[in-house]
Amino acid sequence: MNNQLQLVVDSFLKADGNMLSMEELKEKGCISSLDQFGSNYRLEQMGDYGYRLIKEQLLFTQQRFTETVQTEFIGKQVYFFDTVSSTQRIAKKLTMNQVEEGTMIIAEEQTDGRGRMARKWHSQKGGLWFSFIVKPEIPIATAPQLTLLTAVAVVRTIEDLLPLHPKIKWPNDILLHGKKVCGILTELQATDGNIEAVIIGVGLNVNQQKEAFPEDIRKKATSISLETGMIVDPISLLKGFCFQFEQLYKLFLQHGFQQIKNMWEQSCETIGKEVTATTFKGTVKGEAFGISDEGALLLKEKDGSVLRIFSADIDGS
Amino acid sequence: MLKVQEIRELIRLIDQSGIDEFTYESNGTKLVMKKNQMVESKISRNQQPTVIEAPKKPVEEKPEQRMNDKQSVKVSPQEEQQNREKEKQQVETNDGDYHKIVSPMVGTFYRAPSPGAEPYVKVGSKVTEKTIVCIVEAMKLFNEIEADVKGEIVDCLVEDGQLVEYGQPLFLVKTE
Repeated sequence: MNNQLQLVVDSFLKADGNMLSMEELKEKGCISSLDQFGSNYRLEQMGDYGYRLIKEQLLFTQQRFTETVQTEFIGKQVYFFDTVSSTQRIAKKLTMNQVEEGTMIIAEEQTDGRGRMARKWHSQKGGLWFSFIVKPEIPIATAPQLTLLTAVAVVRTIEDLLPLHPKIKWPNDILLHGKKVCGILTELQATDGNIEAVIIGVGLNVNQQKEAFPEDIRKKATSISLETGMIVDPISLLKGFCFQFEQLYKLFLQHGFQQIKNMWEQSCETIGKEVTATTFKGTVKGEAFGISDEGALLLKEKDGSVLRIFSADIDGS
Repeated sequence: MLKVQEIRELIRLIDQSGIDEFTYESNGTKLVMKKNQMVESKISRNQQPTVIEAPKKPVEEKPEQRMNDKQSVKVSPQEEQQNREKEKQQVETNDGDYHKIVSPMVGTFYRAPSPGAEPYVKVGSKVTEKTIVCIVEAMKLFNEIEADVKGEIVDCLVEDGQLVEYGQPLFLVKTE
């Protein structure tokens, strides 16, 4: 490789996800020399965003995925990565330009996966970490319902492929035998009151063994493998998810939230329990007796007053 | 939702009745009215549905006193009406000077990207249309709110972690 090419390769390798935007490439003045790379790597264009350096093997995985996934648009454009900071961050970068609905970012490992309140989400190899983009033409006020919908899609995916019956903890944590196996976090981008993109991030613990979890969360976290004793193909799970999500999403766009809400309630373990909700401003206790049409948790306090909870950590008390 | 007129009518009826406390609940809206006592305010607990306090019954006023009051304050009903309208106009023009950034959904308002981090904007911050001013979160959906106008933040109307309603003003912006 000549010097200039080496410089380009180095810049790619240093960048998050080995991605460089068009602007960054122009700055380096190297768009003209992008053709020839070593045999292990290929250059892949990422829509209008820019390019990335990708291992040939991953490119094949990607192609096989899009050819076999049973959907119309969810997961029809995918980008597989070995390691990225977070799939959510990459997906957000892509939404700065034109991006197809259903585009999905999948990583084998995240170095900076995040949960609610910027909590670290341990996302080492063995799990399924992905983010995808939808562009529903719905009022912003109803967008939070998509996070409950996503939880239902994960439950159906697992139930369809495995002898397990996951439960949902409000709003969208997925539990196996009381331990968290999946977390979902969603970000919305809007301009002038219209949704431009909803980026849904899912972290599913698949094949991690006990040692993979830090000691402080071992009692609370689990993986599919730990609950079944099997090693499960994450790609099959992902394909299943794409299918389930797309079905529910179409149903949602056509008929609204009601049917999704029913499915959610059937799998929910929070309803009917005495719970403690830890919010930004403190804790409240009460009986969780349902969810509102918006998806908010309804708590009845001892004195009979009803609270709507929109943001909280829920614990059984 | 109840209309303002309906609420007003309820207040009038309850005021005249012997009822001390009245609760009405429908479709996630809750209306609580209590008479002759302070309502224990729970609004700071951000999940509390709207609590409306009925005006307290005037404490035993003697008719003569009322007469006197009327005599001493020499403002005719028409004048009163005019004054009220003037005040109203003033409030409106004050508000009209500034652009309001409103919440597009019900949820929890966060001033910073994560707890302990620097707020997105403060009073005095210059913003453009694309500047993120805060996050509103509900059911783990995080909505980064953009200013949508160019200007300067002159007031932040809600507290960090507070529940905000659909359409509730969050910031006032002096537009350029």
